[in-house]
Amino acid sequence: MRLTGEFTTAGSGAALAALAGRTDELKAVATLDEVTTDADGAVRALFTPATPFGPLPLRTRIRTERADASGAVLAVHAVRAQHAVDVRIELAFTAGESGSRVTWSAELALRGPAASVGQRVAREVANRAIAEVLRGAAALA
Amino acid sequence: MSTTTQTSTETGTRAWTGRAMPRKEDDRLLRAEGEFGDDTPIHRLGHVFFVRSPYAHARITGIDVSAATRVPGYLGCLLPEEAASLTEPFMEIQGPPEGAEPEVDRCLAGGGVVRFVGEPVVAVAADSREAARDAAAAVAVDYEPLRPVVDARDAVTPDAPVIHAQTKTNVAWEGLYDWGDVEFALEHADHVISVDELHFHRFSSTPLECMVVTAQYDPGTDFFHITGGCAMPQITTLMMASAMRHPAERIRIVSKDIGGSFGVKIGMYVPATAVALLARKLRRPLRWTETRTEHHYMGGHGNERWFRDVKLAVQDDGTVLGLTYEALDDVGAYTRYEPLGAAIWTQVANAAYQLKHLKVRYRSVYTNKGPVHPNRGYSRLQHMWVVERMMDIAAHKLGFDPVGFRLKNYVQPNQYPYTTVNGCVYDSGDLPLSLRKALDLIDYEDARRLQERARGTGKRIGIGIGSTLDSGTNNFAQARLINPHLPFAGNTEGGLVRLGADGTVYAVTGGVAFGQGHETTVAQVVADLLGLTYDDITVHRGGDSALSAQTGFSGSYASQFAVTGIGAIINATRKLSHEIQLVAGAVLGAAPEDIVLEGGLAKVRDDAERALPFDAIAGIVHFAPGSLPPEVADEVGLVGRAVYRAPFELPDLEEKFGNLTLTYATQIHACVLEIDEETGQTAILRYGMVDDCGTPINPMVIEGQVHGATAHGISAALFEHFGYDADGQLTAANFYDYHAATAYDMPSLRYDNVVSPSPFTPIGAKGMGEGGGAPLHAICAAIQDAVGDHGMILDSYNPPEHVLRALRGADAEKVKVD
Repeated sequence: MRLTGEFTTAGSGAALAALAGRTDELKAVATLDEVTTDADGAVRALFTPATPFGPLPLRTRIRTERADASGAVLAVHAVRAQHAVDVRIELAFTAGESGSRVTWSAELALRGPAASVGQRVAREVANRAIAEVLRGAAALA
Repeated sequence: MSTTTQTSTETGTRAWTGRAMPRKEDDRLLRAEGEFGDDTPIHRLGHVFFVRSPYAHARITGIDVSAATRVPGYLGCLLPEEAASLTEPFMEIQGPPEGAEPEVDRCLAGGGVVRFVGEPVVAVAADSREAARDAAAAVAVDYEPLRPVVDARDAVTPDAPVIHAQTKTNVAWEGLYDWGDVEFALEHADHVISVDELHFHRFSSTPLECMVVTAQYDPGTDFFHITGGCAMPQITTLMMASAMRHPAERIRIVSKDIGGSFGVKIGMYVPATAVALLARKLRRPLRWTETRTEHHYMGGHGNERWFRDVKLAVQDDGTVLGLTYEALDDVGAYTRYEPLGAAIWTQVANAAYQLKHLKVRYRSVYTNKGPVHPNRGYSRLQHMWVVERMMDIAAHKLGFDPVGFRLKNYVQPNQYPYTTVNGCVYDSGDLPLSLRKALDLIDYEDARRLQERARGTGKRIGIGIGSTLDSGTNNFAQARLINPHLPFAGNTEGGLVRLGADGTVYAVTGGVAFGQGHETTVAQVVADLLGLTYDDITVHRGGDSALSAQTGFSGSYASQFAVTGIGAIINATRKLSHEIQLVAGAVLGAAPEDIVLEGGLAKVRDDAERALPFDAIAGIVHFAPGSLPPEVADEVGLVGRAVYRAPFELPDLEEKFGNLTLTYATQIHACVLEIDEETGQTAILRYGMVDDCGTPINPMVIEGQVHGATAHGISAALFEHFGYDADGQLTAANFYDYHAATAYDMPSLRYDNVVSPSPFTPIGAKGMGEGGGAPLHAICAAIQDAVGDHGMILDSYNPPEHVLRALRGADAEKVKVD
């Protein structure tokens, strides 16, 4: 499914792009724990978004395919028990008067039982989770 | 052959057989005193949970169980490489494709690749079910996604990803069936009805009890004790034995109460092998209790089938000459019991009709979906559905009355035994009488008036007929149509009846019941043969391979128990009777053949003073053998163990011709339904079912089976669908998204029967449990009747959105009349 959103943040595009792979900063994001970098340079973290069903911890691997002042592309793979989520997120950074406007679109695929159980609620849950973690990370730039 | 009718409560000529005796099983089940797979307490029992693939097709790039080992209660795990080193691949029915290697199927994902969502990758054990679940959730598996193929039509295209690399093709089996001369028939017929494509959808019978396997390993004797709802225990034993390189006689399989199987639990050997290996590794008894979601992923789906380029040849007078089509049977990611379905359908090649010409190109095709297993009406209902749809479409398109059209083309009562285009022999039946009774049940004439009155009201009334057969007692030689090197031929079942030391009678059948009432029907037959009462007979619950009542084909499947299971019990009881006669004759000074068994006594014929009660006979044999003549004492053990052998010959493999089934029960259903034009919602207003399964053993059990099969069929036609998205994700992985009919969804069912005794079976009975899918045929026909020719019903699944599409003219262009 395709999800989209936008928000503004104080950081510049370059500062936002520089967050990629910087685990020390990302540890400060409220929904991310156990943040590390693996041998391939991908960020691994326990991502625990708030959902209407309570917190759902997901073992997450975030690979940055591209990151520069104009935007970034992230490939995210998250698993929880028999469920998996693959998301490809494209971000565009536009300079504004007091920082940047971030517009994002995500192509999300649910896998495992979540694809069945979650098919009616996934859009809302995922949209909120992505928006929150992106805002949280952008605020660190 | 005479055909009689009787009501369901009429008794037969014997004291117990033929009567609607209350089921022996029901008392304990209604008191919640049954013992199902998850009920048995076992000391030190550990639990297994499977880590399953969330991908439809992916390469496994890493497995990390370190986090699982830190979960409190963790006992151990089984990894794919370990499973591969400990096992041989499961036996495959089909040979490898030419110039390629065979499919490899193991209890955990093989070859480093997962091939369907829900495929087990790691088996994890812990000391509680919850701990096992948590430990499994902590296992990290990395995947590299591969392109999935989820539609059989795509799977046979040249650029499709190959699911089993070593087979080099997604076609697991391919064959041509060609009987008569269908090209001649099509060329010379007055009319040819052509349909581009029809689709039989994927669903399952979803038994109430999912699979449960408990494995105990005794290292002192190197013995596995497996408990679970195993519907085909001997085949399961052999599959596990060969996979685990373990002697079959050191695997004991026991089942107690089973909450349904309908065929799908035949696949139990796959998870059971993993549980057994882990139990041996950890030296602990282990249990795996399948969740509903797991069952939906892997518990066994019914065959999904595409019918393409379908053509039916029809004469001006309504005589149907022949049929041809191409079948793509979507078997999912592994063949397992498949591609046997590629032969099974030919048991009912003619369906209910006098077809003279039939040609089918059949391909069993792998896709990245859950594997299929035999499911109530296995493989035959798909073929009979397409035949019945074509008959119905032809009647609509050519302007024939659908009742008259069927009556004209049915196999007629005076044609039995009727030899089909492929050499199968339909044993008995009266289809015209069955149809007339079915129409009476729905008050057909009144329903037509109702249909007229509904016009223009926003509601539409449709009337549909489903004509079908329930073929029972397989000739397993049909497997040679798939692979001529297979050793199978014929069919047998075992039974054992014994007289205990106190004179009580115990019977064991090799046919494992999962709700059919075997304890009841066995007791009825044994009571009659021994001259005892129904309550005198104790029948073993479930199955136990250690009791020696089984043969290689033992189990409950393919609508055969009334023939094979009861046949074996009859033979076993006769053996026991003979031993009782030997003992009584020796003691009473009479010839054995002059001893009659009656009222719990072995009596000298016509001499009431000379009799021995059964407990006295048992006492003599068990405790005073020295008082018997040696030749009697040496022969008598008071255990009758026998098999029933179905009288089959090998078919002609070249022509694919020969008898594949012993009996053919018939099911004729008729229904009246109402469609809401605005919503597409369907409501069944009247539903009639007429069964003919030969001489009844217990009419109440039969009627119960008919009700059950009808509920399954109605539910499949309107509610149940294992849909997959383009990514290979199952969109109905639990009962939130897969609606199996409940009592709220069911119409009131009206039942009647016809009795056409089979000339080929011990007591004239026929197997009948599967039901043949008549509701799917009847509901499709009724929806078509309501829609008219505007849109065409070319899918077996018709939820409201499909009905709305049909009302808007969907698929009309796919049907042509020449």
